[in-house]
Amino acid sequence: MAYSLSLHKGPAELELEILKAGLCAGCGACLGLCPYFHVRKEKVVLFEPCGKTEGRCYEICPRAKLDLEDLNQKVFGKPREDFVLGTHQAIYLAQSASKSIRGKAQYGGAVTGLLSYALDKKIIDGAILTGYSSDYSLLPEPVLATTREQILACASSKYTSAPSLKILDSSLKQCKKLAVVGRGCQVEALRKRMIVEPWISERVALVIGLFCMWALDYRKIYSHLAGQMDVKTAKKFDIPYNRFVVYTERGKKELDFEPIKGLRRATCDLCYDFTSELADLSVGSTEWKDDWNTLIVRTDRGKKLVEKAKSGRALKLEEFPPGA
Amino acid sequence: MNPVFSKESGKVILMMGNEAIARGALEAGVDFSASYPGSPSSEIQETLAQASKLFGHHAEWSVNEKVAFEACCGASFAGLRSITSMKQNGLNVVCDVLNTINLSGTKGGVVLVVADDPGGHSSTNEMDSRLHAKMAELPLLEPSTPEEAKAMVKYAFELSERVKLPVIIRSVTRISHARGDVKLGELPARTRKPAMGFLDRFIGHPLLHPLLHMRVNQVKAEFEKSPFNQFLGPENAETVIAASGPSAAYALEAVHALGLDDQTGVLKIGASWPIPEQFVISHLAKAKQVLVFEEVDPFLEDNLKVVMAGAVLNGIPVPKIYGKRGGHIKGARGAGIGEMSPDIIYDSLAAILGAKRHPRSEKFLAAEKLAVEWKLPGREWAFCAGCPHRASFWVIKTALKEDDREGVLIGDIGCYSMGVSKTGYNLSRTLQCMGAAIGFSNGLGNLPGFHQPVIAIAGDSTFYHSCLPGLVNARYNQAKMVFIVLDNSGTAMTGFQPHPGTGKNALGESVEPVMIEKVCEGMGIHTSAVDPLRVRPRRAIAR
Repeated sequence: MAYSLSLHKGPAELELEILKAGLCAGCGACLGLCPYFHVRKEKVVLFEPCGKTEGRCYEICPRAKLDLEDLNQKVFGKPREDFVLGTHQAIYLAQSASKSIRGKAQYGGAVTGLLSYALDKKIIDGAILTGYSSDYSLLPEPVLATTREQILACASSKYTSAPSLKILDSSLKQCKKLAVVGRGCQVEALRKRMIVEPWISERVALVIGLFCMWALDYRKIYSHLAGQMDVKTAKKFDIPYNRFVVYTERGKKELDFEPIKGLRRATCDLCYDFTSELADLSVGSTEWKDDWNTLIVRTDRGKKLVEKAKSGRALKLEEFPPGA
Repeated sequence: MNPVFSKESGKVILMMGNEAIARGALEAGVDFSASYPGSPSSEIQETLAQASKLFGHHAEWSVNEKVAFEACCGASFAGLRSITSMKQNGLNVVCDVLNTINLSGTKGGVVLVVADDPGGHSSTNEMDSRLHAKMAELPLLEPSTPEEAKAMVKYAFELSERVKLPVIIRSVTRISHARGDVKLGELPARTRKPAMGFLDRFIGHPLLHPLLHMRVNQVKAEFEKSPFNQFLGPENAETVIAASGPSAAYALEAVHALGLDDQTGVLKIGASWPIPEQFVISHLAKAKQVLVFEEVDPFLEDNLKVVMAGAVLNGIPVPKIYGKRGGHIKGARGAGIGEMSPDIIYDSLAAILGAKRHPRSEKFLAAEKLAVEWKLPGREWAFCAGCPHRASFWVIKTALKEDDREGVLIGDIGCYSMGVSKTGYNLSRTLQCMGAAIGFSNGLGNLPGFHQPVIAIAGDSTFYHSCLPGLVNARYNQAKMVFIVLDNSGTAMTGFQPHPGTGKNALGESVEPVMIEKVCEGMGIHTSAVDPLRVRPRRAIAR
């Protein structure tokens, strides 16, 4: 199939300008396209030149040319007016109505709650999420969740850059109404992909973007932790308000957060899409109420889902800012 | 039965040079043979191993050439006749003991056959091993036909026992792998009984250097009259060709083809070190010019020049010498490089003597044209179908790529030498000698500030051949590396000879295998055995 591409660059340029330059955000968008890209421990490499001079891999890379105005127009049908939060219709404090979800979730369980509700109501038939690798401790791994249990198993934040879009193409083969949850860079890549292949937008029923200030470099954080503890026993780690907590088989251990901040991916410093502006819904922490999330409603279908989930008693909403 | 083992003496059969060498050993009543395979020498020991069941001598594939030669010396110490065979690289491995056994001397006849690979068809170099004979001051014989190779082996045993020194026979690819008529001799019954008497002591010591010189002089006196050194053609020829090895046969062919028989002499030197000075002077002093043909280095040429220089000082007239030093005799890639060929000899004779080559026949030219225009496609080196090395290199490539720390693969010698080429994704950064990868990695794995992961490889046979000291050193000095033994269950590149890990010996008998992983574990090295055809690349990764 010939694609209509605008950047006229291919894997060689992607390797030179993005991968070797340390700009890769680890979104995973290029990984599912062909066998020539590999990822290991969140580092993407071009395994072999495929021989093509231009390709989708370069075209859809969020760190290649990103025309946010144009994307905004295409996703929302209007120009980008709010340069802080992006195009949106409403902002809420939100939490899942289910205590069991909240118990597993990072904060209010809004994402897990919305997805389980959407799956129950057949609004979606699967979701691209992140779980943990069975081979390497603390390494997130893309998961296509098609049951409530699988969605719940992926609850809680991962702080490194899981390349979850790696499974987009294989997931589209399984699902007709796919939900994608990702960081800003991943939502950007997904929207860019949809421009090249409009059929994908018909098959993606929901895009939930996560607030993301930066992602840690998995390899760096791993070796940092390895110097201070038996990292093989670590199950997960968490970053609650400028603290860094590692959960191990024998309980939790808190580490000095300041040096860890320096272990973020350099490419994240170039990102201005803190709230995932191109998503249907954006979700993040409130930074002061532990069992609630901030929820930004952007598109009509996002709004519709939130309203349904609220009336279906799956989601609790409060005004934002509180008392406004 | 293999006709090489036939008892019909006097019968002439077509034999490969290496088979003729083995037959020579059998006709000398050899008691013991040990070798490590290496092209173009391997068929010598393969034939002797096959013969072992019929003739009762001991035959083994040793772990390396040094052990093989030392085992042969051991047999010699007990008074038995022994033969070892190897390629030129193998002689380097033997070199250490070669330069003490010459001082201590030996007892039973010891013959060391080294088959050189001029042109490096299947080697990492094309070194001229004759220089080892000169360095170690040991007798050297150079056959020019398979028939002569057999005769030289028999003679070498007798010489070795007379002068109490190992004798080196230097073959080359075009002797070892050529076939020629060989007249079978008697096969004597083996009657020697191994024993070490009270005075059988073999102590290498510089005090014995004068004894060695005495023995070398004894050999030289014998070589002056050796039938392996011959002058062919008119005695008063102004032009003489001095040649050794197959070059002597090429020279005779070229002289005849150019119609120079009645004016050109050929000085065939078969017993070449120590050089028989008087014999050489007697035949060269009358000539006006001498052309020297040999493979690879100007060994004979240099020796002749030294003899001639001595002659000049004694007031004897000497001829002009054309050879490799002056660039007069050279192949397409230059003097002292690659194989000698009848063509090079034709061209040199034509240039120096102004002789004309006969034109090729119409039929030949037509066939040549057809062959050239047919344009066979070039073929890359490639691992054999089904060889696990293919999968191993794929796994290593994937691991290095995904790891993305510019990890380096330090290569070694074996089938996996092809790791330097496309079939191994050009991964190997080094190609030197057996066991060198683990050695190099002892350096690379201990460099402060060097953060690229180091992977050293070796084959299964190479592991036993020369990796063990390097591995112990790596463990002892904490060199950081992943050492991968690529096990394809045999000494594959030379023809799948067995090695200690295969559970078979040279005779095909079952023996308790020496397991690679147990050896490594015994050194306290974390070891795992994986099937490259099943392993997921990410799991095979270098840490």
